[in-house]
Amino acid sequence: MGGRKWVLVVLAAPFLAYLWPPFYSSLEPEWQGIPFFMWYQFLWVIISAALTIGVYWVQNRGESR
Amino acid sequence: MIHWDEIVVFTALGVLVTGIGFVAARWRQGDLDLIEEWGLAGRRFGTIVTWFLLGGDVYTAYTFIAVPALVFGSGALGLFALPYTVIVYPLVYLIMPRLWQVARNRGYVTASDFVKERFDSRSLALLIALTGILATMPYIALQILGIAVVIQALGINIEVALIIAFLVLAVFTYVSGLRAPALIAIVKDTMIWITVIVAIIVIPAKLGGFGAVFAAVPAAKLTLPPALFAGYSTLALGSALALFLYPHTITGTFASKSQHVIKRNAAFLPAYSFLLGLIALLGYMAIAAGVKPVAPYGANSVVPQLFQFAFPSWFAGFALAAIAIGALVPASIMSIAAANLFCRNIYAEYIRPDVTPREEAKVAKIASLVVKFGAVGFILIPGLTQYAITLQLAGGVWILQTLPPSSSPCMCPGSTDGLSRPVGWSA
Repeated sequence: MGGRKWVLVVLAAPFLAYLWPPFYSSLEPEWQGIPFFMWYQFLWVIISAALTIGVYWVQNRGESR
Repeated sequence: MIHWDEIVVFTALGVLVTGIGFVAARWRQGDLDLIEEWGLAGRRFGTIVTWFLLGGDVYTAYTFIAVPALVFGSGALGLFALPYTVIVYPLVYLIMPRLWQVARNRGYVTASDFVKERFDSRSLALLIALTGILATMPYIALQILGIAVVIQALGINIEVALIIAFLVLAVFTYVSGLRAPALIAIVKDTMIWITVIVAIIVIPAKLGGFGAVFAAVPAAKLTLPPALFAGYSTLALGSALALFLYPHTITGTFASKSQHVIKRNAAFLPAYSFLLGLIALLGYMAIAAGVKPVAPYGANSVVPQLFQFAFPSWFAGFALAAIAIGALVPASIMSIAAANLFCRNIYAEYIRPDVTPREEAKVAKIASLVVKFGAVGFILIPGLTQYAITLQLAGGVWILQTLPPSSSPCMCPGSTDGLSRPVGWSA
């Protein structure tokens, strides 16, 4: 696992994105008729998963499973 | 009205799944008279099986019924399920692999096993075990409620159908242990994915597009009022912290074969969170489609009705079966998890300290039956269902008390204080 612990900081991003509703509780800007409140949260599902995959890859590259 | 075509499809799928539950005993064969095999499938599940198992464990029938019901009734608040099921995964990634390793090295089957050695306190371990059992039982009852809601939509006799469901569930869990819900989860999750993807395409199309769906909903229900901001984030955060403290998610995690399995799942399980977000939107679609809640399940009846409105009857049967099977998987895992706790941390600890591994498994199997029996009772006895709902909410708070800072021995009084004051997290 080595000294790549710094990358774990990245995992804080979803908390910051989600836990402040005033930032995203609005209808605008819409996308394809979908209110911001909805598509913002869906987008962050994808981003968070991608970040976790990234963290896993950084921490485990070159290691045997 | 009795929906015969739906019932035919529904029953066929039910029979299929029952068969799978029994065949599972032979899958990755192990001695099912030993508790590690019955209760944890020998800790052998790889990444993909675990993805299906935890997916089936975390995203339950009750979730699929209750989250849209919340959106239908209260609007944007119901979307808390998205942040909740996303922020949980960084926590899983950071904490669960290490817990898994310790559990594997020391042969722990339950969280209480871990607590007893780590904190060197039998009374704390007992408290953890009791909390786990208490928090899980209403949750099982709610899965049975999910089945009841679906049965009602089909139009058949609820008592009879529930008793059949209970028997199926009880017998395959007894026979195959954790392997049964794991194998069935593969079928169930596939069915749910199909159902939701089809729903998300067909239903808005029927209603004139996504824009039209949102336009049909009062604007106030599409965003959070400022008064609910704090409630929304604390509900999400609290639920996330609690989720992997529940015995059934711990059981699903301990059944993995390596730390890598857990980390990879932390990255890939969010796919289900996306799915859950789509399911939440079904609540809005129900509003746009003019669905009306039906007694006695109220807003919980909205999703089955929406499916019956939008789908040809054979697919409605498929979709309703997906939900019902989606109840069997977590109900099975939860009953195993509660049984593991009773057997290891109450029976073996206080009643029969010199229990043999074979006896342990036997006791666990029986405990699991008792737990399910109680859960069905909650739903069949009139008037008790509302208690199940309240108890499950309270259970979430109790389970949170078991988070390490609140469960260290010097804070035992704080833990029981939390037990006596289950303040709802929801607004």
